[in-house]
Amino acid sequence: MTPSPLPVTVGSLLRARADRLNLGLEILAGADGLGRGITSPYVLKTGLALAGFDSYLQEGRVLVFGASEIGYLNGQDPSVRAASLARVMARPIPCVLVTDGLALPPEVAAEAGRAGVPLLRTPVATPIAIARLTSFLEDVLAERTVVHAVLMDILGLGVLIAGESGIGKSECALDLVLRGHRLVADDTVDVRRRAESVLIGECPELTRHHMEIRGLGILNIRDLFGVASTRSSKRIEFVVQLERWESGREYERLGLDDRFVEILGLRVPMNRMPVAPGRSIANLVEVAARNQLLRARGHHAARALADRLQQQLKDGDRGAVAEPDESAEREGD
Amino acid sequence: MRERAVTVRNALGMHARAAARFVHAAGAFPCRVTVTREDRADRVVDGKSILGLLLLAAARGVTLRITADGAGEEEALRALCRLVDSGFEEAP
Repeated sequence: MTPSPLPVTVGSLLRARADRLNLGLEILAGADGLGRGITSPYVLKTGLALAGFDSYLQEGRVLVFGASEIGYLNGQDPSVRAASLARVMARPIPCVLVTDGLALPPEVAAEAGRAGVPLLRTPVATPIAIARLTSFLEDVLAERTVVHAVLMDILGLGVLIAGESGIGKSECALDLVLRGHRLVADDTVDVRRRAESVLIGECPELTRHHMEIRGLGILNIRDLFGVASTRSSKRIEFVVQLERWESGREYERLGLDDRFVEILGLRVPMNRMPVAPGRSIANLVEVAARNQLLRARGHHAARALADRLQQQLKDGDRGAVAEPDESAEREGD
Repeated sequence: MRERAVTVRNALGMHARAAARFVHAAGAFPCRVTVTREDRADRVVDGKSILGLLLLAAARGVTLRITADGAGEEEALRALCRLVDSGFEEAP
């Protein structure tokens, strides 16, 4: 478990592969500061900081110089320009990113070098550069954890099947694959939280598309069932917890209450599923997934039935007959 | 919960057959077993899962940290450390 994200350094922006960041960065000054940490995925547009109002500049965010900042600097007297740049560079910012391949007055590189703040430049236009940088930083700064479970895509719903080892998670997943559902990861799921509200589960590269089944050994699901039988990552939206059936224990009979499990601080709807001989787990998991799809769209079967019962009980007090009510409601549906 | 460190000694490291032997040995105990590499503590895997152990890609010289939690944890740790220490019972 890694509770706090590791800080990303400015140097790691320069080293990022083109398929991940694609900004074509060059460093113009301040290489001493490449070890500075970036702690937020969101950038700061410099704007008014150059005019002296800099109290809003937050630590750990990349400062962006676009056409408006450079235009403002160009209109200033060189000595004023150097002073305002020096003041901004003294703030605890990781680096300055110049967008659009803009040409700079010489004071920018000079002051960045003096303060040890890396000055980076990209030929990419400002809004696109900001979007790419934010997306890259959101990804590398995301909180991560590892979950021991199987992750499946069932009818478009990302379902995490959890439970102790030997309970039949992989067998259940294989049944689901045979029914046309897609495997994401067997056994080890890398989970990261994106954009504060989304959990993404991914299979580690080495074991991607693979599954281990007692008696069969290691299987390559994609080779056996085709490209559509697996995918490499999926948003996690539902958890099915497989448990050994214990006589005398209370199991969910109504499904009236929503249960949740917490992963990386986010609540994910959860269904406990007792495993016993004669119960087809894959069937149950698929139906649980279908039911969850309905619930997510506001159709709650158990609650709807309970409400109808409540209505009948109320009407019963007044001696009303239930039958016509029920058929009227069915037409209304 | 108990924990112990052991270094992989055999030339091939923890390859597929070695991982299978480890899983077989771990499965004999009711306790929960997890394994992690000392140099990469963020990757914690289930000691009863072949795919999990393969993910460690533990070559010769890598130190593994084995954790056992539950009934028979001491016996499990002893057996698993002995297995790794013996080079997964392979001829050297």
